[in-house]
Amino acid sequence: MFNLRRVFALWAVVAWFLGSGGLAQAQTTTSITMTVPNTGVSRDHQDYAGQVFITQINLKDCLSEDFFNFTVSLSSGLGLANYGLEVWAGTACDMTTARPPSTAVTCWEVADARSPTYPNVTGIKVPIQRLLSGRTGGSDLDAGSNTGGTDSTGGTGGGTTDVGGGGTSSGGTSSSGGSSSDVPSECRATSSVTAAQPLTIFFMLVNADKTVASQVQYKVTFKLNAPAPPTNVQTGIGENIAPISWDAPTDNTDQATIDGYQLYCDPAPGMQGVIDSGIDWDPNILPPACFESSVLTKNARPDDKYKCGTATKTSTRANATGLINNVPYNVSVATTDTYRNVGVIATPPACAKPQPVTGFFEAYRAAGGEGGGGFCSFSRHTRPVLLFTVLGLGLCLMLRRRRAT
Amino acid sequence: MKRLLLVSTLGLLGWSSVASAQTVRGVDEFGAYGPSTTRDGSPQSGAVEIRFGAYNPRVDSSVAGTPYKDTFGDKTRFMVGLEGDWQMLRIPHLGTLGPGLGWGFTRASGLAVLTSDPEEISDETTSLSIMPIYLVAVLRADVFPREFGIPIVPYAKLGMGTALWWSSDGGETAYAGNVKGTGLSYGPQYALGGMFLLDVLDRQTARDADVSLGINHSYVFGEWYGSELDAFGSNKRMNVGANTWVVGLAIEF
Repeated sequence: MFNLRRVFALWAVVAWFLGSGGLAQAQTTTSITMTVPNTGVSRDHQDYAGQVFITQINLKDCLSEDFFNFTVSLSSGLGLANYGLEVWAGTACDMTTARPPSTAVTCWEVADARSPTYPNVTGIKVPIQRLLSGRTGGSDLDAGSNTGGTDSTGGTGGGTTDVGGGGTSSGGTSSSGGSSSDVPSECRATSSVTAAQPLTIFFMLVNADKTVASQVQYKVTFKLNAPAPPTNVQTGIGENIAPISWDAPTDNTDQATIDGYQLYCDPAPGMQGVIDSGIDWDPNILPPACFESSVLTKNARPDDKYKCGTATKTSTRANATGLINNVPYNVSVATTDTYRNVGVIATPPACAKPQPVTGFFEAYRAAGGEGGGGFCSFSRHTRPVLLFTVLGLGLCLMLRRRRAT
Repeated sequence: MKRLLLVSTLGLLGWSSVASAQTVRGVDEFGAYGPSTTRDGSPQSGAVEIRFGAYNPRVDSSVAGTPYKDTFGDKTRFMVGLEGDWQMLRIPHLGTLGPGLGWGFTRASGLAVLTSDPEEISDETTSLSIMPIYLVAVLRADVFPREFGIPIVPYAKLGMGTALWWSSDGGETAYAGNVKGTGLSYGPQYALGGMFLLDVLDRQTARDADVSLGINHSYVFGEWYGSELDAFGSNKRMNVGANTWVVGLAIEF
């Protein structure tokens, strides 16, 4: 029997179920907004922190196991217990097909999943090596296409496989990574391309069925390979210095990414460098030749203690400084880029033998000149009386004029 | 020779036309007419000069040897500079008088020699930079263009100059023992020169410059310039003064 009251009651029950379902769905898709505030990003020990963007990653950041520390803000805590917070990197990570168990993944997880907290989720640690791990050993996933070229630096260590395809090796001139096994696979460049590569980090509130309820993205860039080294490194004679000249890399792509040059000396600058090198030298005798360096070798990226000078990107000459006269030095030059990567050195190194020279001022003093000693120096033997007389007269004239007016 | 005569004649004709044109001046119902070498424009109170000239400091004159020549050679070095004058007084039928403050910069560089063998040159750069600064009284006799239609302004300057100088070896400040290779020298400064009034070449532009920018006159000039920056004959200061020529552009405003 048709009963209007029952129909209304049934309609109300259905509507309640539909409504409550609709509300839950709304919560998972629109009610929580995620943001990464500007103050919510820090780096543990970024190379050249404060001098480069916080979003930049270079080879040293990777090798030194630097990491990001993120804080993510949530606009609401409603229904937060239904979600997990996951952090992934790659392309279109908010799609379930981009993540395992899909067979065509384009993303990799870069931080441990956790339960979100309102209003902020703090201390989300994203290690650089983990961040870069997904693209190492394969094509650049985030770029959406292969960046071209196989890893010219070898790929012999770590068992990774370069699948760049389609490109060619740059002939071993790329300075990244090196063929040595001391560079972890995560930190190796996957192509000979020297330009910076983008990478997107996805912070996502994920449902139990792995669908994404809300997400926010944070973009970083990485560059792991500095340009090829310069060529034709030459040295000259100077006192406690070695004037160095070189030819810039001729590859146009490399030239575009050069930001400067770094000079290296073996032995390291200073007397301690000479002592550490163990070479036998006489400060009064010019050495006949340079020894064979075990530091400035092919594809080497020497330790910072061997740094002995820098030059700007347009320079083709600079002075290696801090040298000891009459000590034979092996000197070489590497390029640096805007991410402060330092490339491998030019080989073979040049040989410099600094020795005492006589500059203009020494020659002037040797000829009996007594000038010098600073801008403000006054000698007791000069005749400042005339100067003070002129100044005094000028002052008198000024005072007299003022009094007259 | 014939060409030289022709050029000279044309030059003289041009000169005489400029000079004679001065006589055809007057005022009618439309205002002033006829070319004028100088004009009654905006008020004039100062001058600025952009200067360029040779500069070979007399360093070697105060020492026993020739360290400057030995290090930098005898090639002519050049100086750039600026000068600003305040034309404080106008002396009737003569010109302007006032103080002028000038600044210049020059640098000589060469290669140091090996101490063990002074005949052999190293690869280390050694240099001497000089920054002369002077305060002079400037007399500009602009009576010639103002009253005789001759676009030449002779001038004289007299005052005191000083110069900061610094020497460097390999890009670093030079030292001889523990004496730092920087210093300050001072002494008298003087100059004699002449300016050619450019207004006569394009009177309309000159007039426009005065109306729109307040530039009364513009000149090219040449001057003989001397400075004795040796602390009045003392060898305790490096003599970085020079007797030299300077050319440049000047404007009065």
